[in-house]
Amino acid sequence: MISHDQNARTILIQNQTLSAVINYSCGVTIDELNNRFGSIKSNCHRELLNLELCGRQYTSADFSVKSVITGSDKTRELATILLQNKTLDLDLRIHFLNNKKDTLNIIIQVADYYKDGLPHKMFFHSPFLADFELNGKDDSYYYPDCFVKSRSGKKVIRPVRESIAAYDIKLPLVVCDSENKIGFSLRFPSLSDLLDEGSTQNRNIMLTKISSGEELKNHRVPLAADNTFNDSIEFEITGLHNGWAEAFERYREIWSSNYDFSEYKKEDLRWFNNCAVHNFTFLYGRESFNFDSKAVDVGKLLESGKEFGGYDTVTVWNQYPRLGVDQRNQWDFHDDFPGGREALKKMVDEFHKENVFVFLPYLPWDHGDDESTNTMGDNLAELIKETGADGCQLDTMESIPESFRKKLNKVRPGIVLTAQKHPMKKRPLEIITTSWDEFWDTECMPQIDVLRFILPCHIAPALSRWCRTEDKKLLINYAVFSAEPIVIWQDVFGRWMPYSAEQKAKIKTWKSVYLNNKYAYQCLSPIPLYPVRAKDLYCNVFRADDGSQEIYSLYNDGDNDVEGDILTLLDSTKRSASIIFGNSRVELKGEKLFATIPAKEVVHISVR
Amino acid sequence: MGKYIERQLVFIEKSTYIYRVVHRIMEGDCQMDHGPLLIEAGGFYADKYPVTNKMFYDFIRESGYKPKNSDGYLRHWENGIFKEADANLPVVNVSLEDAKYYATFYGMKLPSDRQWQYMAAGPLNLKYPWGNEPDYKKCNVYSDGLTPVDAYSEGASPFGLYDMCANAWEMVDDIIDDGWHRFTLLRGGCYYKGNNYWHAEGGALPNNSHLKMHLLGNAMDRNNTVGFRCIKEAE
Repeated sequence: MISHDQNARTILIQNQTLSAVINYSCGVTIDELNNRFGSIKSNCHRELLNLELCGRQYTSADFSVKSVITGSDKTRELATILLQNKTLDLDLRIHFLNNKKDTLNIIIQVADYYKDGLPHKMFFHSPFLADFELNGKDDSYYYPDCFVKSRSGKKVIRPVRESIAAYDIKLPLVVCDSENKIGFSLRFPSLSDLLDEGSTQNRNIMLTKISSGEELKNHRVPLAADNTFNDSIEFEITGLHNGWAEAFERYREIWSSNYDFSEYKKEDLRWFNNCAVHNFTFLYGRESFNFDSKAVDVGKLLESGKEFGGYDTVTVWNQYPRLGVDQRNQWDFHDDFPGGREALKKMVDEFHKENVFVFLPYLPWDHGDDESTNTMGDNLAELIKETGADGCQLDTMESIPESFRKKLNKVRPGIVLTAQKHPMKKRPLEIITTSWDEFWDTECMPQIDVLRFILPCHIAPALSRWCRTEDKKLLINYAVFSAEPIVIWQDVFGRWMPYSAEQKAKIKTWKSVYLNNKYAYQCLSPIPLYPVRAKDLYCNVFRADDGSQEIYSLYNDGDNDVEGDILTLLDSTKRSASIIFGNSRVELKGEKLFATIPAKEVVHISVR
Repeated sequence: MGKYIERQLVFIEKSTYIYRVVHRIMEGDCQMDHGPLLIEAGGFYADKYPVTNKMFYDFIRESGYKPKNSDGYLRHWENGIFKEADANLPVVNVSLEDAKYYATFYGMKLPSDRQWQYMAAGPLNLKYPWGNEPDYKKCNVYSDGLTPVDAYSEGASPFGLYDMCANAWEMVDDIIDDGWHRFTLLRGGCYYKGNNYWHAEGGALPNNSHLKMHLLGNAMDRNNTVGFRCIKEAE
């Protein structure tokens, strides 16, 4: 519903979750923005924006209202306020776009006609955003660029990539009441990946980098306006009644609505879902290579894997960092491997006899001067065909030419593509159905990979290649906490980095638990960092898609055991709880879960 | 062609020498002692030139040498003999094992990594065989192929050794076995450089640098950019 009172110079906008009053009597202010599930008046009398230009601050009150238009079509309602400052040669166009269901988008557009004939630096700040709240006190804030920080101040949610921002998953700002129920989700729909100041007009990406209350309060976003009304800043706001869990699910739905995940539903590729322990072996080492017979010792490698519960896949690696001494490329290396491609075929056959799948590497950066995308794809397909391998490890490749998938499909069904890094963008994520959850932070707990929870069908085994003994303990906890398979990589390009016997045993146990509860762990709607009632306690929830089981994965990052009432169940109809991983005690009292979680350990509690 | 470069030995005077290697470390590290170490070096003879195709051909003819596994062995030759135009190019596509057979046959051996560095850098510890500044006119680097081993007289080391920078890598005697892996070290760089950051670094490498090369066997250990030279103990 949209209602325009021209006398009061206010616009009332309502949908199922929100009610907002916009006042344009002096600039544009938000008189109130409320969550309709509660009765609290929120966000009252807030200036919408400030601009900083040529060393001066301007509010919307420094602009005159030129026009106000309201109207609707069959699905949406729109109010547009046009503001003008002739001295600055600036126009502002502010839209309030209501989807008539649950969401209101506030779109701020700036047209700069360059008062001196030159583009001046301009910065945007929104007092409305800076003070965004539900109740004003006891609100819980979830900041878009990692809302939770560990005791050491580290971010607990790791983005799709640690070092660059050009990925599509940008979480919203979430504000909730103390019960983590009523609240708001405020998303910054972003169309630009570029973080460089002034590189594009759309600067939402800057707001997605907010990671603290201080950054929220003091945000200052460079604008690069020109004389067209392109989107500069956008807030997409929804009222919540089930807190963070609802906000996360909503975000996952919005994000995935642009994707076609049919590749993930292909039966021939689903063998990867039954794999829990993956091995990466460097063929220049005795872990898998016999220097006397000059052949891969399949039996020896698999025997050593039994301590981890058995390897389900093996990635054999015979190239980097050896490539480059001469002109031979990766394809030549397969030819020149002792025994040539026939030996690789024999090796694959031996792995297959033991029900182990084999990945061969593809190195996108290693191509001869005479190679093209086409020949690279042909060479890869030929290699897979000749050796009978089950998949390709795409190394650092974050995207893949469409032709590669097609060429591999022609070889035979069931060839899985995986990569060392998560694909970042739409099409690569649609066709590269697995990747490693690899990261470089050796002290990785408490931490989760956002992609694991946003796109759970993209199964990504955990790995941090340089982990030492203490770090490996954290790595195992990391994999278990997020319910991920794991890559066992002990020979890191010539450096032997083994696991201890105790760690191997823990992974073996995890494999068993993971596969026995695969349908819950591989559910479509896992919830990361579910609200708990104890300090330094973290929880992820995995709900079987048929609703029959919920698994609460709990990690205690504190120095002491956590005991007592730790959380409220998602589903209050559940009647029994049991420990399926870790040493703990658990009791279900109504919808409350009482448990003991040992310090620095992960415990999984299954509730049915 | 008609004029083949002959094997010549140059005496390497004995001296104390501080051996230290500093090089780009690829993932996997380089598991050996890179110094600084105070060592005694020299007091032996060294090949003035790397072993050429013609010299290696003579060796085969004289010794009857046949490798246990011939994958990739002298793959640039045709019908068991080098192309005439390649006679004075450093012999490549030989393994460390092949090279050691050659050296042993002539009562020689390959220099150790420590000896090689002294042979190239001399008592004054030069950064490059010819001096302390890079000078790509004094070696065959970033080019399209190998050149004769005597092509760059101005690039000779203080002891008069030719071709110690670029053209072809040179193998040394060392085989390092850390219990899990076997690798050797390549010296001097070569004319070729891979086109990506992740390729092993070629080009004109300074005297205090080496490259770790994992050994696997057969053709994998024979490269068309890697040759060798020998040394002979003084009597």
